[in-house]
Amino acid sequence: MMFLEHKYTIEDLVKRCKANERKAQELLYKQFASKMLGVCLRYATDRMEAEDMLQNGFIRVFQKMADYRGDGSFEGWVRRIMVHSSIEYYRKHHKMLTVADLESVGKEPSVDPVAASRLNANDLMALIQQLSPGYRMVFNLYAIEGYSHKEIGEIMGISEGASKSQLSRARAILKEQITQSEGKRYEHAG
Amino acid sequence: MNMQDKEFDDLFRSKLDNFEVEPSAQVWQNIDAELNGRKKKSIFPILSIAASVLILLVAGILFIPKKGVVKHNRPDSNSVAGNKVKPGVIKPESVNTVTPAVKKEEQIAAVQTPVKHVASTHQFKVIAKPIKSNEQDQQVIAKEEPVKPEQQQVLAVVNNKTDENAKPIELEPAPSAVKHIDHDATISIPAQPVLASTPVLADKTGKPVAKKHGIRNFGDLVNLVVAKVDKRKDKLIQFTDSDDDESMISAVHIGAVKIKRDN
Repeated sequence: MMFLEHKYTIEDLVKRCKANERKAQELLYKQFASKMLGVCLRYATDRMEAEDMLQNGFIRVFQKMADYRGDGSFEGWVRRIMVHSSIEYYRKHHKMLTVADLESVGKEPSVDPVAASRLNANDLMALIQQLSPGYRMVFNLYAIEGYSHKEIGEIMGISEGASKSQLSRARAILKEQITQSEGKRYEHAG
Repeated sequence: MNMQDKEFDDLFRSKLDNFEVEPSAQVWQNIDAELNGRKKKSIFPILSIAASVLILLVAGILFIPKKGVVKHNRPDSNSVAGNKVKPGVIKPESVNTVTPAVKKEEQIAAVQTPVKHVASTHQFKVIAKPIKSNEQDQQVIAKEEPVKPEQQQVLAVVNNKTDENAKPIELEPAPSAVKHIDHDATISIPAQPVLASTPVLADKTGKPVAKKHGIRNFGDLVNLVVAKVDKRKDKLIQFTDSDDDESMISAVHIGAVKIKRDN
């Protein structure tokens, strides 16, 4: 919204982007790039992957600008494109690896909510990025984006049940790591 | 103390919702480049379509046979040839038209038409002139004895291209005509260099005549270049090498596409 204090509104920029005006495209990019990189990072192993997704996502945004009818927030529209760009990236690069993800995890550990809430965004991001691509994808889509297991199954080309089981495995791994890091923290403290 | 799955998910969602990281400058540069690339690509097909249409048009124009260009009726080349020679020649029209044929090897082509023309009228007599009449020019003729009998042939050969019947007609009346125009002949003989060059034509009866001519028009130039580059029997593109001022494509060979026109 800081942006609106300047002379452009998002609506103006969108209109100019539809006319393929490069300056407007750049301004629009600058307006959303940081936030969208935050989205892409959740789907990526590292920052380089995330920037790849971001780049492809924005190219898509500008190419499909005419499809944006103004119903719903523009940011939400851009965000959905970023998620799709991330899914595409996953399909291209990681899909073959999903089978290998199914190694067993130990019994699901319990997580202290207070301890978990102490974790900051960077910690959580690091945890998610440590997940293998398949788990990361399912967790992102379900827990954060709010997709149903049916939708996730379609997106990833797996069954609804497989989506559910991958989700619980993803959660289990995350919880385990939170607990471990908590333990380490106590060790340091003590 | 265990956390519900829902809570757990919400924790991630709320904390990561406003996660922002400034991307490196490279990302926008790449996007910019990609968008530019697309633009160029979208223009490219239009250009190539325009180019191919142009090529087709040009090819079409060159391939359309020009009906007006019949060799017998080329008053312009006739007059041009005549005019060129006039100053050197004293005799009126009858000589004028023919001398050019002898004057320069190169002009034979252009004059070929006049000769033909002449043959159809009474003027053909002149053709033979230089051959038997030039006693005075023994030096020249001596060098090229074959000229005498064959020069007629040469002229005939050139005509050959268009009309077989023309040959005998020219040949027969020639001798009879020779004697009584004797004096004229001397006049037209300033064209000595011509005699030197005619044997070349004479040796190689027929077709070679056409090959020997110089580069006179665009078609000849193209033929020459193509012949250097393309050693196949069927050249990439060939122009008619008839001795016309205008050249027309006579054959095109592009891969499977082979078009050839008889000339």
